[in-house]
Amino acid sequence: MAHAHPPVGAAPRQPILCAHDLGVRYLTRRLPVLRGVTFGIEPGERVLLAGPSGGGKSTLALCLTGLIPHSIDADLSGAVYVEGTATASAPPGVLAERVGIVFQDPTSQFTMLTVEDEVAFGLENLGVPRSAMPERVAAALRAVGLEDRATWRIDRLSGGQQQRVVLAAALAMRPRVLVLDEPTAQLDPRSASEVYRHVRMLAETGEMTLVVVEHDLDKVVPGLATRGLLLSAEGRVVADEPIGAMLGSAERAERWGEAGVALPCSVALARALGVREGSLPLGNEAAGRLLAARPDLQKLLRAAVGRGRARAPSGPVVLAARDLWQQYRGPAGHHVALRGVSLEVRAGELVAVVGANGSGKTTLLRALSALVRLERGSVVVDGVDLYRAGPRQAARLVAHVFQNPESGFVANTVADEIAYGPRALGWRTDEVARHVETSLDRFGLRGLARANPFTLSQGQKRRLSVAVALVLGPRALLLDEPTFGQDRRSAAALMEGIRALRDRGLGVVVATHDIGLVAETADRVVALASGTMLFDGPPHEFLANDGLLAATGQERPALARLLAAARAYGADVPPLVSWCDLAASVEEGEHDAVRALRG
Amino acid sequence: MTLFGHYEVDSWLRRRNPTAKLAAHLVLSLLLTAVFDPLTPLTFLVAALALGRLGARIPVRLFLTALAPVALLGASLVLSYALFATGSRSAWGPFAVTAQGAIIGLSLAERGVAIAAFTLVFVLSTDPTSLVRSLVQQARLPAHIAYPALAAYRFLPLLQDDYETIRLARRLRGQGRQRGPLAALRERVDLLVPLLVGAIRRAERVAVAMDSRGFAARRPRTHYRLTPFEAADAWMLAGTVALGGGLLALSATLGSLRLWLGGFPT
Amino acid sequence: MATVDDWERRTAAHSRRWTTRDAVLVAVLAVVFGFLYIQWVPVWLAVRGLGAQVGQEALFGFWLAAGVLASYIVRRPGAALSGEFLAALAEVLFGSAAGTPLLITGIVQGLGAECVFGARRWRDYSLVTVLLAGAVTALVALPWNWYRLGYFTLNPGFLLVLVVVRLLSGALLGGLFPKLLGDALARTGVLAGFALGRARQTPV
Repeated sequence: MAHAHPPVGAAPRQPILCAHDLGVRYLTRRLPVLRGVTFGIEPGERVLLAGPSGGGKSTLALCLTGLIPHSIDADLSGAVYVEGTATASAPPGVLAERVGIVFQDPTSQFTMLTVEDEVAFGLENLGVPRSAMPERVAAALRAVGLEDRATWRIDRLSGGQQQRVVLAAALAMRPRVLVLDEPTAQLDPRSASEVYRHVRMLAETGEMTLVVVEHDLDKVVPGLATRGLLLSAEGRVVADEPIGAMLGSAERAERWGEAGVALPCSVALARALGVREGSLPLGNEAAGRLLAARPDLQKLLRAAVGRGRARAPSGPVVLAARDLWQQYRGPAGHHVALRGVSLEVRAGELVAVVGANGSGKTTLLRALSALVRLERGSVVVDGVDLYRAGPRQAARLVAHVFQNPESGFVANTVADEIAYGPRALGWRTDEVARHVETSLDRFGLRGLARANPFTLSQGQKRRLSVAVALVLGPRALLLDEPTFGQDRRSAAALMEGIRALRDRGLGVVVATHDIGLVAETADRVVALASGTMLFDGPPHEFLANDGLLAATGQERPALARLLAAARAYGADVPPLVSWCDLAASVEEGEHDAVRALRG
Repeated sequence: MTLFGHYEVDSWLRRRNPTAKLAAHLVLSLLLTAVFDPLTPLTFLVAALALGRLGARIPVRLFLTALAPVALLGASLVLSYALFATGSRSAWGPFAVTAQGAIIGLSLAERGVAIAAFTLVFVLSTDPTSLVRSLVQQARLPAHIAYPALAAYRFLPLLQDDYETIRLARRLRGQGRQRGPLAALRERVDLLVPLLVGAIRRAERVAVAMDSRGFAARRPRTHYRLTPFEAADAWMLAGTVALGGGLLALSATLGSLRLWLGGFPT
Repeated sequence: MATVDDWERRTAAHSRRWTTRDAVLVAVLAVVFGFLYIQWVPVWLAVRGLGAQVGQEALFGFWLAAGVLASYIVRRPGAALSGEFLAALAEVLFGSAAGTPLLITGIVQGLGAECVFGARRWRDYSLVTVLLAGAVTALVALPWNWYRLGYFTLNPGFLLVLVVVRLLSGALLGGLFPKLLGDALARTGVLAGFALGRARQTPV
């Protein structure tokens, strides 16, 4: 299964990167996060590193660059070799010239203020002669398409452009290997595509060896990754083979699905439609051709139309916002964040608010909780005007979960965190205790009662913040980017919980740029651009409107693009946009792939 | 005083070496520190405004907004020195104040405003990256302190957002409803933990990113851009000394100068 | 996997060199305190307005906290000094009425704290040490402040009060407060990568 490590000096082609029985344990944890990892990567290969969330993938990425053990404390056993040199004994700085890395958070990878200074930073560190720098900086910027932004300040760039600057900064050091650790996890779909476009261009030159950690396989398959390395939850390599072999067969694909990796859309669709023999299609073109050749599959798809979840919640209106206007004084003068936005949310309804960065999503959510000063407008929940009632009363009616759960932590233990609200309201001790117990169970926080909230995992922190928000029995729940930075599986699990809350009669508003969430969960979509509401209606209308998608930084969902490709090949398939529609029609067939996708 | 973001107007001062400017600022501040009369600092303040207007193209309006808090703090100084300094006391309402104290207080207040004005001129005419580079190249500040400082400087707008978000989140949790200075203080201190946790997490990521670009290499560093010390910078320094000395002399000839160089002021 | 000996060996090795992470942390602490300096201007106005010089002296310790916290977390020679210097630089650039001479104050205060921590070889950061560091720094900066702030014009009796307040402030705001803050941060687990976090861990 694993590539054998050729004896050093014997083979004509040396692996450029290899790991030999690599084991890593962080000092703060009892269990190792990687065990017995062995593989070799040849120059020019493009390897996809995948696995369940839990740090094994990122840890391996850090080992390949030598950042573990030089920059980050961990117990390292076994070895990693870069171009023949063991990382553990390499002098500091040597590895930086051989392996570059791009992480997922754009804002925390910069030292300097302007683009060209940042790109030159690595060169300064290495002592590259000054005369050689301008050329290398310019070449790196050209490779990512930012040569005309060299003098710009980095914080004036978009997230996608910032990640491209990081890429250029890594490229300037002329590494032979580039490691990308979920480089687009924090970007909206449009920016993500932009970044991967440049990565693909880089890959096409054939001079770069790539290792990409990614949980959304549609971004790297087909065309970018040539080989896949799958890690298990215990940190072992459980699969190591060419991509075609890996995903092309139904049983192999199953293993990936079981490991919690979200399969590419084409593979998932084929499995959902019951395709068992032959190799599963990789990519929209292949899937399109397959569908065009199989009228039976087309019939199955056509039957799916109209049988999707036709939810038209008809409960009472719990939250009514009218004509909201909000502005604030920014560095560039007055900035209008909301322009006359009106919104109604019913009990048992989930509304997704979509928009590009800066469109006003967060401000809208804060306005709905009476947290920002409005120039004009009103927010009424259950007959109560939130702005007249004040924040404390508002908190009882509307629960607001922030993007960063840590913002709201006020106590030293999880139990106290949940108990804080009730205690402040004067509940009896036994009532409080009972409530804490119920919440711990309901939100999967059993066993964490005495833990400090900051020590929880991302998923646990989010669940805790939801638990805290719900303690006072609000009528509406507002969530700001709840699936931010999470992989498909954790995102799906969280949304499952949110759906359950909606079904119990809460009105839910979610601000998000996750198109999957919108397609699968939302009952209604509200689209914002520059503070103006562009659209308020059913998801399938929004997802089929290319103009709206572009205005909100979105792209068509993978399924829609695949079916469009199929139609181009002459298949007669309906323009579905979400998996929900599909599941309804495949009731007696194989739809576990769909389940895995949806969580 | 708010962070003025990025004032990027080109001017004669902007082109000067940052360390030289810092040294000039130090000269003027030290000279002012020896002064204890209410007239001399005013002349320095006027000089600062002129320097700002002509040398750095700063509009007077900006000066007023920036210096307001300092002036307010200074006003409290006048009163407190009037109350607690030594000297003959006279009645002023319910208080026993000394005229001498009030003058000292006024002098200190004006001094503060003048120094703040010079700082404003410095800040608005200096690019942060150039400052850091210059401190490394001219003042021999070690790179392993200077560049992390620049990386940390980038945190400021993020800290502002985080602070705001944390305040709002805590308001939702039911805080912010108690009045009273002690409660207000307690709340402010409480939000230090989430603020710092976020900042420290980010700091670790920044450090790893810096190391991934070879920052830990400790090789002799080269520079993409140089911050040379030119003739114009030497002239600026000389001019600053002349200006400071000149203003002191002017004040002396007017008979108003009071320095404290050992004994008590006359 | 790790034994207690591995543990001590690793900790000793770490004491010798500054890592990038340590340097960035010290800088970030200085920037955070610089940020608070501006953000809490209304607080300073209130305290100084109502408390006059006593209020000013009562706040003295706060300007010390960044450097002491830096040393408390990172536990290396130079942490207090660079922390104080950078915090002072931040204050200067944000329009402090003291101007660049504050950099000198910062360096002097940083050195004062370093002396106390250095006397304990940067290993002992108990309550007593930290209170002492705050108090010593309060004294060390006194002569310069005496001159700069014109304290020589004040009543000797009042001056005594001010000195006592300053000493208390240095010890409490500049010693106890950073220690409590550092401990609170360590409990959140965010300091696992630094000396303070390591010191609080039990080896496996």
